[in-house]
Parts: sequence; structure tokens; C-alpha cells
Amino acid sequence: MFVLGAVDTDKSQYEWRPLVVDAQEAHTSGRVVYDAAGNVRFSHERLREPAHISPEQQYPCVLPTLLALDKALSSRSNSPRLRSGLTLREAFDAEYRAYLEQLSLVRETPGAWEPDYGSYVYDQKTGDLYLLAPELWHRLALLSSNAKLLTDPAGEMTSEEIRDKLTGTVVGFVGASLGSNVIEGVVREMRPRFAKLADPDYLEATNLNRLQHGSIRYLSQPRARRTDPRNGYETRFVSKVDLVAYENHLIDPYMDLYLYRDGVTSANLDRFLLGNGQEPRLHYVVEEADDMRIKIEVRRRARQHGIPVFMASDLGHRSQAQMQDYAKNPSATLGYQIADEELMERLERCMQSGDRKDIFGVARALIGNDFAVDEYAKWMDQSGEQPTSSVPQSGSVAQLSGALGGKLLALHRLGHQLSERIIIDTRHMRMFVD
Amino acid sequence: MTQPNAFSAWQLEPLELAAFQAQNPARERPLSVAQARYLLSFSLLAPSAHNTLPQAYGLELEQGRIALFLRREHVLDASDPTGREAVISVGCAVENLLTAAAAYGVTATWQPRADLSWPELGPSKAPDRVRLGHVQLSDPGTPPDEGRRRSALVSMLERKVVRAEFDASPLPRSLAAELAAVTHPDEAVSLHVFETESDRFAWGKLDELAMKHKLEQPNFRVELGRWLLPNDDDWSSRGMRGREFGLDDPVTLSLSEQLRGEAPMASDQTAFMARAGRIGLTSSSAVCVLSCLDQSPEAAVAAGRVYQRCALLAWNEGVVHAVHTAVCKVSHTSAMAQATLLRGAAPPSVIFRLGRPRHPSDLSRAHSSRAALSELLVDARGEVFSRSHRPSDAYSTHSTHSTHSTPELGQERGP
Repeated sequence: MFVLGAVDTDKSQYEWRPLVVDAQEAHTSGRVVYDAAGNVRFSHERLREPAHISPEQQYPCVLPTLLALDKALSSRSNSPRLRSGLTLREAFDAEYRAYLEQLSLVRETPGAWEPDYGSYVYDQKTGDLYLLAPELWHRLALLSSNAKLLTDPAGEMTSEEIRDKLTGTVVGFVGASLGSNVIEGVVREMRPRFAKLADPDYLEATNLNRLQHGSIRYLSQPRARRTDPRNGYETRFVSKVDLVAYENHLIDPYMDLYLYRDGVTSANLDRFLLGNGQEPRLHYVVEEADDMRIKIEVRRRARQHGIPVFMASDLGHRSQAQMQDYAKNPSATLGYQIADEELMERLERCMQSGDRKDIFGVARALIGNDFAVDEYAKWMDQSGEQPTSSVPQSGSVAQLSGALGGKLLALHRLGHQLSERIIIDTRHMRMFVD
Repeated sequence: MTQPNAFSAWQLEPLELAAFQAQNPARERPLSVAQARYLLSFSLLAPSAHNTLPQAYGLELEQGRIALFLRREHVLDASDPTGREAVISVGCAVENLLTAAAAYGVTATWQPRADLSWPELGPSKAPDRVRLGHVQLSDPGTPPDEGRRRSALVSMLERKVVRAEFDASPLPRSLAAELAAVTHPDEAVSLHVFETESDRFAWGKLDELAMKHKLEQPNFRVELGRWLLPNDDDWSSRGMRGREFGLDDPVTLSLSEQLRGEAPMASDQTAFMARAGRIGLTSSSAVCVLSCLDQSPEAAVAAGRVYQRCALLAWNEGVVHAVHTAVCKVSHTSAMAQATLLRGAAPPSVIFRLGRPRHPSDLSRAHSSRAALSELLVDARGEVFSRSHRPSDAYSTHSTHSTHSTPELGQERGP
């Protein structure tokens, strides 16, 4: 109740999730009805009553998407060959031609507004209505510029095979603050069809230096959500996973994101990792939690189930990426080059005392000993001015960490070997690889 | 001189009914002095803010009553400027006294003083006691059977605050049912129980915000540091040892020094401390919030009584508790809680968590210290019989009690 929004047992549903309806079905069933002035009456079982959408809030995006693909896709002989036997360009041309014909037909048909093509996407938060290209072409547009930069080590996979592999990759993100940057890296690089997000926390203004898509729009729920609209203390916050999911859905509404708005707990962690009848199993878990016990429990259970764990850290000017590939090495340690027993001992000491030196002790056990340098070391030693009482986090290094996450996970998924740890030192323009 | 042991109060051996009754052979009054002192030995085991033991007892047995006083010199300047927490603490002591009396079939009812007002209850530099009311004793009722009696008495002797991480296991349904009926119709107090993950997290976040806010105030820090005692202090009858928070000797001494401003404190240490409170609340089985339906001192006593009743009920179910008062102390977080989590109900007066320690060994943490009963008895003239051992004794070489007050964004909540 502090953070508004109904919790569904189906974790892919949340209050702001855009509603996606096939255009043909929408026209046939009367879900979408245009009046003479172009106003739309939109009906959906998740809406209490039909929405009335003026042309001001309608965004026909199909042609812009197909235009962009027309410009981007090559008709040369090295256009990727699809399993259908057509090249990608040939398949696109057939689609494009059919759409343009339908568009002409609609122009000539009195009372018709849009062809039976693509999907309507209704934004429950703003009341906007988008008309998008079908999933295949919309999602292709989102990553066609990545071209074939990502390949398997032997370079034998086709574009379509690579796409299928990456699309089918399921990544679970524990922690959506720095984690939002890794999410961003992953969706830009891999454009997966499914992902899971877990974070119990809400957005705070101080997150805005690093939380992807965070903005003033999400510092508070609207005044209308207050019980007493005049009560300034009735602050209703916005869940981080809600805003990250929503913003990602505004890029790819076809994606299924499963939201763990209570974060991961010992009770739901197995569902998060392994899925159930409704949710898929993870191929990777990205651990960016700030709860020490959860950090380690995620690793322990992921190892038990053979799921690799990736963690990116922003450590002052240094971005550090780590992968524990528990699928390949089920006996790998939970921490970084430290026995599990020692890690657990440090964890318990830290949880007992709450003392900062013990917190650093756990941090060292998880990420190694190479972060106490430059200004970060000064913060650790508390020398000089220290304006905040939180761990310093550089916004740009958070972005870099997210970028590393996206790239490294995609490479690993395609079969590339990764080092256990990579450090990029932006201040001294150096890189360290273990 | 040998210092008195400050933990001997917990060694009390419950008397059987016959032995108790034998202490009042004449039966001219509901209680003899010996019986009253015995029952008060249970009362003083009740918890209090910072373990200040702010209560005093007056034996008015000829009138068939025991008076309860607030000793204003034990009200915390920085943490409790209105005296509200101290009054709630006295309420806990009242509840234990009534529970002990009931265990022997002594009919006892709390009679609050009708004309109490908050301005007379705040901290005082000089010894000053304020009568809050009295426990009226009347004709004996029917005593419970030996098993129930012993259970009630033992729960008071064993109960303790456990400020440790809990295991987040579900609240036993039997306890939830008992809590639902814990308030009496005449008590102007309501209990709200929050069990969902999201609610417990929200309380944890609010507590973290409030605690951080308080810890940034120098006078609050200094006071907390002075009340955080070394683990080897066996004689101070008031104050909290580091071990009660799970702190070892070096961490306790270092943290106390830092809080008192006698050693450098890292800028983030206060944030880590505030985060620990959040972990405590989110790891609980339930966060319980008591709201007073009116803001009178009588209602605050009632809140203390209900809190202690909850603590004893929980203990009997194998569930422990810890108190988190920061949200109540800071006006803006209190108002936020009232408007959101409490859905517009009265503001929070007591916030505590229930649960089982993640590590069973935390159950064996030592009790906090207690004064000897003689330190808490006042004579007919209102004089305390003997000297108290205060936490200032533990840091007597560093008597830097701060009176500096920092303006804060969220002013102290009024009573």
C-alpha cells in the first residue's frame, strides 16, 4: 500500500502494463471502434470501462517502423537467409508490399481508418494508443542496427539462429537500480522475449543519477492516488520494477516481463530461478541486490540449479563485471576467490554488527580487493569532504557496467568464454582481466 | 566497594500460591508489604525506552493501592523530549504488575490520574517524580491454576527484547488470533498488524528514513552513545549493553565513542545503522503498530500496557520482539505512516516487530540490566530510597553530555 499497484499472481501483469491487441481481432471484435472524427473506443477485459481516445493520443507507428526497416535492410546477396528459404530482405519486401496495399485499400474505403495489420498497444498509464508493426518486424527494427556484430565463436550460426538464441534467452535481474543499466544493456544487445525483474524498493530522487528511465515522472504517484488529495504526507512511491518494466514495454510491448515487486525472498527464489507453469526458467541471473544476504542466497541457489550468475559493480571510477558460470562449473565458489565458509562467516559477522568494516569484509569476499583506489579509497578512509552517507556511485560508471553486462551476457550465451572478472578503470584508462 | 550486580532481578523464583498467601497471614489488606514488593519485582522486569527504568513505585497499601510515578530525571532529553516514551514504559511496568497480581488471584485495576498533562512529563535535570496513577487492589478473586500462574510469571521472567535479524517465517496463526483480541474495550489504543512482505518492507524503509534522520542529530547520537554500555559493565542498572544488539566488545566501545563524538564516525556509519533497522523489520514475521486514539498521557500508558501484553503473548508462542521507535519520533515520517500504511488511523505510538531469530543462538542473549527494587521505591515524602546507577557512570571520564540542539526538518512529534 506504500507503493500502489495490485499484485497479480500472474507476475507478467502489472497496473501499467500496456495492453496489446491484434489489430485484425480488434477491428473484428469491436475492441477498437473509430467514430467519424477518428476518436477510438477501446475495450479490454482489464479495463473497468471502455477508454475513449482522441486522435491527439493515437500514434500510428507501423509505417514509420517499416520505413526504417526498408532503409536498413540490405537486398544484396549477403542478406541473411531465413529457414523459409527467403532472404530477410525478400521476406520484408513481401510484408511491406502487403501492408502498403492494405493501406491504400483503407484510404479508398469510407469509414475505415486502419488496415487489419499489426497490433494496438494501449498505454494504461497515459491513455495513449499506439498501432505497432507485428511482433517480428517491430522487434527486428529494435535491433537491426546491431547487424551481425554478435556471433558464435566459430562464426557458424546464421543471423536467424543467433536471433533465436538471444531472443529465447531468459535473464532474471535481482535489483533494479544499477540493475536497470544491465537490463538496458541486455535488451539493447539481446532483445530477449522474456525477462524477470525483482526489487522491493521504490524510486528515490537520489537514484536518478543511475537508474535507467528514472525521471521526475516516477518520484511519486499522482495526487489522485491519495486518500486525501491535500495531505502532503501521503506520499505514494513508484516501484522500481514497475517503472523499468513500463519503460521497457514502451519500447517492446511484446516482451513478457515478470515482476517480483517484493524482491526475491527465500520463499520465491526457486520460482524466480526455475519458473513454474506460467514463467520460464532462467538462463542467467543478474545479481545487483543491495541486501547482502539475498546476494549470497541468490548465488547459492543459482549454483544449486546450475544457473550462471552475473554481477556488474560500479566502484568509484571502476566498472567491474563478474561471471560465475555455475552451469559449467557447479563447484565454483559463491564469492570471488574465497572459500564459501569464509564468505558466510563474514556475512554473519556483518549482519550481526552492522559495522562498516564488516560490510567491506563481505564486499571484498564478493568482488575482490581491487576497489580501494583513488577517490573511492578516500571515501572508504573517510578522508576529505564526504557529502553523503551512502556508498558513492558514479552515474556514468553505472551505465558502463550495464553496457558490459549486456555485451558479456550476449557473448557468453553464444558460446564465448568469459573471464571470471573484468575491471575497466575509467580514470586511468586501464583494463584488468582475471 | 563491590558494585551490586545489575542482573540479579532476573533470578527471581516464582512463589507457589500458598507461599505467596503465607506472606499476608492477617489478610487485613489485599496485599502485605512483602507481597507488594514481590509483585513489583515482576513489574520492574518490564522493558523501557533505552532501558531507562523511568518508573517509581509508592506503596500505599493502607489505601489498598500501589502508586506509579514517572521519574523525570530518567526521561531522555534528546530521544524523548516530551516524555511520551517514558510514559509508555511506565505502562509496560503497570501491565507486568497487573499480570503478576492476577497470577495470584489479586484483583487489581489501573486507575490513571485524571488531570495529567504532557508539559509536566518531559525531561528534568533534577530529580522530580510525577504521579501517573495507581493500581487499585481489591478483594481477592479466583486465582488461576498452578500451571497458568507459573506460565504467566515465567513469561515475564524470560521475556526479552531480541534486537537481531529474524527469520521472516509466518506469524503463528494462533498468535495472530490472540493479537486480534489483545486490546480491551476501555483502552483507547488500536493494534495494527502488518504481515505482508510489501508492508514489512515499507515499514522498514520508513524506519530507515526516520532513524537516519535522528542519527544525523548530534544530541541524539551523543545520548544514544552514552546509553550504549560496555559489555563488561555489570553494575549500571540502566542502559543497554552492546551485546543486546549483538555487538562484541570492540565494536560496542568503538560505536559508543563515535556516537558520543569522541572518535571520528564515518559519514556512512549512520546509514548502515539505519539500514540495520530496516533489515530487522523486513526480516520479521509481522510489524505491529499501536496507535493511541487520543493523544493523552493516559492513552500512552495504555499503549505501553498493550505492547507489553503483546510481548508476553508472543513469548508464550515462542516469538520474540524488538521495538523500533524512530518513525514515531520524527513528525514527517509519523505523518507519512499515518497517511499511507495506517490508512488515516491515529499516528503510530509504538512500533515493534515480532518473529523468531534467524540464529537461535540470539535467543540466548543476556537480559538487560535492572535496578534493585529499593531504587524504585519512593517513601511517603516521595524520596527515592537508594541511589540509581546510571549509564553516565560507565563513561564518567567522558562527561560530555551535549545540550546542543540541531534544528531539524521534521520536528519532534508533540505528545
